[in-house]
Amino acid sequence: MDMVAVEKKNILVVDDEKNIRFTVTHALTSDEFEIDEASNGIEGLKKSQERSYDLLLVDLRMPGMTGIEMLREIRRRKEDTPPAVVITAYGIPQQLLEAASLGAIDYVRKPFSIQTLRSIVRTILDRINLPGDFLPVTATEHLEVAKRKLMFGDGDGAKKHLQQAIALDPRNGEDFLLLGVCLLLEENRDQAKEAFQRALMIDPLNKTASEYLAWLAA
Amino acid sequence: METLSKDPTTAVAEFVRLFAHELNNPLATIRMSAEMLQTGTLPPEMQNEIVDVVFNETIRMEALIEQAVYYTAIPPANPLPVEIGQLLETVRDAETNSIAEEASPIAVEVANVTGLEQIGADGLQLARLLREVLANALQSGASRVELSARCDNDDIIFQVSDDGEGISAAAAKKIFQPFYTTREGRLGLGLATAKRIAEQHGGAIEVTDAAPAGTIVSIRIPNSAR
Repeated sequence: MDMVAVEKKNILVVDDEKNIRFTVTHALTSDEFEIDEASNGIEGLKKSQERSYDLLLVDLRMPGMTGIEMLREIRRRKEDTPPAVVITAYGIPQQLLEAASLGAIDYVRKPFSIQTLRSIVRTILDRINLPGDFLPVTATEHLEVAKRKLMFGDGDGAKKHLQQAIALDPRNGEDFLLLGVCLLLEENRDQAKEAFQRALMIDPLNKTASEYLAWLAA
Repeated sequence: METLSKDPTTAVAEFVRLFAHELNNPLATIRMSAEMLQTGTLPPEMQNEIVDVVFNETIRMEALIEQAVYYTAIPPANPLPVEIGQLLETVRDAETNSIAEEASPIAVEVANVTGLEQIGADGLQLARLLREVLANALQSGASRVELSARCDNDDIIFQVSDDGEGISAAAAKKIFQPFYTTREGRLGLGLATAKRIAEQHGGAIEVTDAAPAGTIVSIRIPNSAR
């Protein structure tokens, strides 16, 4: 049987923390992924112009050019921007929302486990590889399609799939959380608040929904 | 990067949030490192490298905690006679020794032109203040730094000048704010601490851009011995 070589996915890690770059690089380097590093937003921007990446892992708070500023600049300069996962040491709703408006809807909070990181990276790459004509059937599939739509700036399309996901399974807090994000992106704060409240009712430990609610109340 | 609120309760919450942010960075590294070590499949040289990373990150966390604790609870100044020349040299030696491994040689010159041997001040706090300012100058890409003291009426002006990258007007406005930093892996409490100590002595601190190259930080300390 012929062995088919699987093309490695190229990931760029942008973090001002040298040791985070070191551990993330070693944790992800494998037959599946090839990792490149940038120590700040300016370097990340430069590298992303020079080469095409399948995924960016971006720290939000960096001296000089922040992760958000870098993502905004990449998007401004390039039509075809790679998906991004935000790495954050502390969830700040305003920043997460800004990242989401740039298509970076997934995030990991420091400290995170290698397993979490690998899992999120694989999920996003799978999501990106979904065929364009993929027809979701289950609630989980609708959620993934909604995320993909949001990543490409289609908030309306994302909302429709989230509503279908909720209709199929109204007990998934993540659907309501993402719906809240979609509503916030269209500045519908009242309905967003309701969505975050629903997310918290389903999962009282949903930290992000609780942070969004506190932020909306402030 | 951020300014703490004037409302004490909000300021505490913001301080804790920003400090937690800084601690979460080394914690993330330690956690991932532990996971990698746990697999037991790493080659020995990689294992050693990861153990070094963990060790360095714990030292860094200790330093971060020390800085935060010091900043939030600087004791009242206890003025005693302080030898100016000795103070400047001690500060220079302590700081240049601590960066010796990571930086190319930087000439640090010391000049006491006050005409005085002593001032009345809290020597420990003054040394801390000057170390924070000098540490900042040594990270500015400078090849030469001068640490000096002169008299201005009843005050002593300490100055740390460097020929490094300089400072923008925007950064000069924020540089003494807690958690403001433009440097990789730094907490951003050093110059905020320096400002607190200067003010605790009834003095002040300011930064000016020394175009075409470099920065001057001036610290005015009233001489309490007079």
